[in-house]
Amino acid sequence: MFKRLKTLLLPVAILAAVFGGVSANATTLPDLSAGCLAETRVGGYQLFDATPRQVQTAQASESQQATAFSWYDTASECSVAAKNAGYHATKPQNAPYIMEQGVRSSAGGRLGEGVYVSDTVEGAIAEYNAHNPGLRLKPAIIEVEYTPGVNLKVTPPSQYYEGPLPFTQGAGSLTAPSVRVGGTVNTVIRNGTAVPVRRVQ
Amino acid sequence: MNQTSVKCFKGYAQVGMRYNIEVFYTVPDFYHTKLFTCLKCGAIFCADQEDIDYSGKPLDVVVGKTICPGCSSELSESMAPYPQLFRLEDGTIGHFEPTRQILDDKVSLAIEFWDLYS
Repeated sequence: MFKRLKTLLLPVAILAAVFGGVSANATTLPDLSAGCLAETRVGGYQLFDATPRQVQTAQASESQQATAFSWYDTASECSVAAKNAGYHATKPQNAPYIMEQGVRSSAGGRLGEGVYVSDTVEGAIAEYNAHNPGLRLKPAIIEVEYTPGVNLKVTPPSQYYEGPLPFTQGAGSLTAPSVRVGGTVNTVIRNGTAVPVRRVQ
Repeated sequence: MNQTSVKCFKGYAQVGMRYNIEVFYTVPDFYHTKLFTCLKCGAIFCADQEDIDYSGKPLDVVVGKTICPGCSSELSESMAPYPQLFRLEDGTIGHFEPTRQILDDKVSLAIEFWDLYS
C-alpha cells in the first residue's frame, strides 16, 4: 500500500518541484509593472504605460533583452526630475528667433518627435557638425530648460527605421546615448516643456 | 543662391527599364534638411528645417521669390520634393521613395545642393 502510494506521489512531487522552480525563477525577473512601467504587448509590439513617480529603476533581464523588440525592452529606467537642462546647437542667425519665439518640435528623428537636446555643449556641437558637414560658422548654443516628466532611458540599435515609437505612452522625454560623442546623451523632449533660457555661446 | 554641403545617403532608383539611377536622400536625425528639385531642369535644392522654423521666413515665401539658378524658371511652379520626384537628363520624371532607415554616419555623403535659405 505504502509502495503504491509512493509510486503515485513521487511523480507529483517531481512535477511540483519542477513547477515550483519555474515559478521561483519567474519571480526573480524584474517586475516592470510594479516599477514605473506597466508593460503589455499588443499586436506584437511591446507597449509601456508609464506612471510618474520620484525615482524608480527596473533593470530588464537578459532574457527580456534578447527578444525581437530588444531596444524597446531596454527602456528600463525612468525617473521624474523637477527640471533639467540640455543644449541645442543652431545656426547663429537662427538663435535670436529661438530665444524670442521658443523651440519647435522636430517631426521625427532617432527618438521620434520632439525637441532634441544634448546633455553637454560638446555633444550638441558634435550633432550639429555631423548634420552640417560643410558649415564653417561656429554654431550658437542654446541652453534649453525642460521638465522631463517620465524619462525613459533607451538604447536604439545603430540602424533602424525612423518612425513613431511604440513604447512612448506617457513618457515626457526619452534619453539615449549619443552615437557621436561617447559619454554624452541626447534627450528628446516630448511634453512641450522645452524653453530656451539663455545663449551659451 | 549659394550651395551648401548636406549630409545625405545614396539610393538607387528605377525608371522604366533603367536601373541603378543614383539619387540622394536625407533622414531626420536630431536635425533634418529637406531636399527639393526643379522639375524643369533637375537642379536640386536644400532647406534646413531649422531655417524653415527659425529664420522667420516660411518656406513657401522663400520659394515664391526664388528663380531656379539652373533654368531661370519660377520655383513656385517647378519645385517638387526630391527624391520622391526627380528629373532625368532626357526629361523623364522618376520616383523614389527613400527608406526611413537611419544609417550609420560612415555611409553618409556630403553633397552640395543649392541652399534655398542662403
